Amino acid sequence: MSQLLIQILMNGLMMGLVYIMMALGFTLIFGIMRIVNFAHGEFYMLGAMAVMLLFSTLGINYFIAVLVAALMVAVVGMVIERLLLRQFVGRELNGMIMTLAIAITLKAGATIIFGPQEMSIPRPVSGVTNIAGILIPNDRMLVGAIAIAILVLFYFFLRYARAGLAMRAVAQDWEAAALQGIRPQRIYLMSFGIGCAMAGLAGALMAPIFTVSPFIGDVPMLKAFIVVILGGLGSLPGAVVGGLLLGVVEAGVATFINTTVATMISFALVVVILLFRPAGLMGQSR
Amino acid sequence: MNTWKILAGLVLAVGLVVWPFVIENRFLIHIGTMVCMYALLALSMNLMLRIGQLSLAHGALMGIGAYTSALVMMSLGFPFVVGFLLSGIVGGLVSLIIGPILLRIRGVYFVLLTFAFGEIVLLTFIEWVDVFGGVNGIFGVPRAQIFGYVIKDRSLSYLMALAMAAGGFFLLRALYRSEFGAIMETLEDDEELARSLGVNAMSYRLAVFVLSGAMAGFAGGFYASYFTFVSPGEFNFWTAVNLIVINVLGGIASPVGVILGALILVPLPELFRDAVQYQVLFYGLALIVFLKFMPDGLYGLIRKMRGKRNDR
Amino acid sequence: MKRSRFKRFAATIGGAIVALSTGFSPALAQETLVIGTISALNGPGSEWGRGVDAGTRIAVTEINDNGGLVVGDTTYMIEVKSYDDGYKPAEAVAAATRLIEQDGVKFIIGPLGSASALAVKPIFEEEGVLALMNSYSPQTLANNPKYVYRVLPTSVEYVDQIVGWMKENKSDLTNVAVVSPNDQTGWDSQKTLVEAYGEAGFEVVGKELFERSSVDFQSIITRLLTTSPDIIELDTTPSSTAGLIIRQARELGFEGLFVKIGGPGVPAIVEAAGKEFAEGTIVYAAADTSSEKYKWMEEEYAKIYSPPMNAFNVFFYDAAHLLFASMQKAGTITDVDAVRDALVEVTPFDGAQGTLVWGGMEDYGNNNQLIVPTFIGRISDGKEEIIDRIDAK
Repeated sequence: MSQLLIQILMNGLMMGLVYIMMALGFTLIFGIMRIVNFAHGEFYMLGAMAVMLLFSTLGINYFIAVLVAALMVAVVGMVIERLLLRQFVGRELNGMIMTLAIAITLKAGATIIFGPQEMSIPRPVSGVTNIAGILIPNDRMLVGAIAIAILVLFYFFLRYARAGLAMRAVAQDWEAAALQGIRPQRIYLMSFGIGCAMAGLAGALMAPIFTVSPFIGDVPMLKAFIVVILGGLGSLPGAVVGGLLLGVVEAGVATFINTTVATMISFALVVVILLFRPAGLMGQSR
Repeated sequence: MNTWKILAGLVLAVGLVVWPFVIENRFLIHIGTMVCMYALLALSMNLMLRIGQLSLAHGALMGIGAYTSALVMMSLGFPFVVGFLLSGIVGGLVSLIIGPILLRIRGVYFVLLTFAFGEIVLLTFIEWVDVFGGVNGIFGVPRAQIFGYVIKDRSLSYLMALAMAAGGFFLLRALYRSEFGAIMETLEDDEELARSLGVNAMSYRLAVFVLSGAMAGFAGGFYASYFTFVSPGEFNFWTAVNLIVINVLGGIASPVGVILGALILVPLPELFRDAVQYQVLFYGLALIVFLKFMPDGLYGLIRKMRGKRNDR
Repeated sequence: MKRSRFKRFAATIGGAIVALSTGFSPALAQETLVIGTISALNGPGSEWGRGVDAGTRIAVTEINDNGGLVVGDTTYMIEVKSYDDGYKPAEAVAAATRLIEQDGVKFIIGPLGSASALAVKPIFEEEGVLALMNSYSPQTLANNPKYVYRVLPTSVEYVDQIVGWMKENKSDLTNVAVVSPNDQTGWDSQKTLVEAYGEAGFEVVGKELFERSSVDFQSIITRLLTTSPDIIELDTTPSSTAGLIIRQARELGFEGLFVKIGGPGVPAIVEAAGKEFAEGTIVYAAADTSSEKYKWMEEEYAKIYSPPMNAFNVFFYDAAHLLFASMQKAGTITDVDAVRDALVEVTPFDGAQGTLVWGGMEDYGNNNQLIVPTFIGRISDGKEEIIDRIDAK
């Protein structure tokens, strides 16, 4: 039984790391631009599509393909930010509707270009590692490792890089930041780009593990939502805690009851948190 | 001037009622019925948008109305009239119950809350198979029946839908022009001011939410008997999104805009029936264009073109 | 000035009315026969939905290329109007309404999918439109419909045959766990499977239902494996998803046999699971994919939709030919009742794979079910190898 529990824990942690990547981008965008990016899931999907093109079709080395895919998605994100979202910064309601519109458009475009069917891409690593009776598929371990690396990178970026510090400044108080010579426009562009890059990276990493289709962004979008609300909209440590929490809780409930109930419980948690502590577990109350 | 308007209004009204009996194409009548049903739904969403609260729960509220009516008729044996009435009442009731909880929260969090609520409702429809029939829903819902007369003829169903849409339209128009409407505006713009004037903001927002929920519920009750089936997939978050699209396209400022939006958007899928993906793409692009360049929607555009006149 | 403007206005309206009325007149013109198809052409379910449309079109092209359909002493060119229902009931209703009202169609192939099929069934019955459709729901043929026929075998038709084969050929295995999608189709087929396995002497140690959109099965598999099944039965799980389950189960240590008695689709299974993991899986095969006819059909399919073709295509190809043969037998394309009655008269019918007969009286109380040959396949080296065949009687 305890072995089962540990297996569940590992399953949950692995998924949780992916959720964190999605959530980080999402919460970054919200924290800095106050825009709820309903299109976040579609950037995940674009990352998967890009990797499919680069790795599966063109045969480029997987790790390079993943990197390039993330960059491509970042560029697309920045173009969209510049053209469509800039005017909605701070205008939550219309910004949300605009990101919805973008989501619809991206998904429809992908369906027309790639077709609606589910496609599989070859796996860069396969096999399973057995640690004291706990089985972890190697491909998931790889994803987990890369996710942790990205998280650490991101942490240092925010802590020590000038751009990172500038982002935090804008998040706190953009007017004061502007007075300090930081240009909010630049920061918005960069934040959206980084946020999308993370979503694209998550999609690129998960592409070989599941299947690729224009619809794969829906579920990660949902998970990002839930994680970010649990952890607090705009809070980065919250995204980490929320991601791990969701991953493990889901794995547990899903294994012992079923997946639908697991989803219901996560939504119920969302409702509870939004009602009693809308700032999330780690956010600050406004 | 006024006589012209009245005359035009009368002609329009007669036209709207009579055309299905002249052009006996049941497919077109079906489209017309859908336009009316979605107009009612979009109007219910309009109420929420007017007070600045975007609700993604309206698909679920419609679903609650639909399932209520279906179950009341099929499991409890009540006639359609009861089912239909209950669909609106239960819709409003649910809003009444969750309203005080949800409406405390504003802005983004409210949207997310309604989204979560909608998903939970949907999941309940799917999971509680014994009652709601699971993923495939309930088939064989009895058709609308008034005083023993079954409404099977499409033209009559259309008239019913038209009546509902017209009811909603005139109700909202009157509401917006009244003092209630004025208070609604302040709720969106400057709630603190309203409160300082002694307005109980919360009860007004709740009233709006309840009315909105009831309207969505009625639409659901109609849906159930018109299609004779209800399935959860019809009442999800995308339904609410469609309603938002209709509002944005048509213009939030006036019920007329909403009707315009429904008139244009609902028949659209039929034009694209051969290439469904292009339809969705068109949807998205149109929405983007409107949001960026015509935030007042079509109605706002028309008003601008006619020169600014102060009618609402 | 005003007068001429009014005249122009009236002329435009008049012209519009004329244009509209010609557009709405019935499409059954002198020498064209118009039939309709409804199915999911994009999105979920389209791997099978496209088979409905393509199968029909391939048959139609065949006939048209040979000079057209000769009924009585008129030759007709056949036209197919295809509508996408997105696997959703409301869309199917709109599509059916449009086909019947706008396009004047009296013969429809499709829809495919329980929700869509059940939603349009009352319309077809009311309007007297002959429909050859598919849906795994037992409701499809309930209440002895007069115009609705099912042209695909469901679990009820082939499960007993295949489980029987399993008992004979895999007698060393005893425990079975069944995994099915959490929807109407999945519930019905799981029930049938569990009964069949039980009656054949297997022990059903697990029954799982998963959300259609799931991709992560670790929890389900982890739970399943605690009961140590010898066989994991994948039922009507969509092919790519089945492949995912196979892969994830193997990675979590399952070494037993996979069986899929439900919806064909070996290429997608192999793609998602990987050749190595999929090896040895026993599948219900709708068609002998190595036959000449099948390969021919795949080429024809590629002219309409991008490959791979799903074996369901064969059923609708056969259904279309069956329909046209019935029209010829009845000598009419307008008398729906006569054509319907002729459906029985043209059987036993020579389908693409073997003989077709109508049946189902025992299970449904009517013979609106098409009985077709059943094939048993095994995944060998990433490909489907047909290892046995059971003919229709």
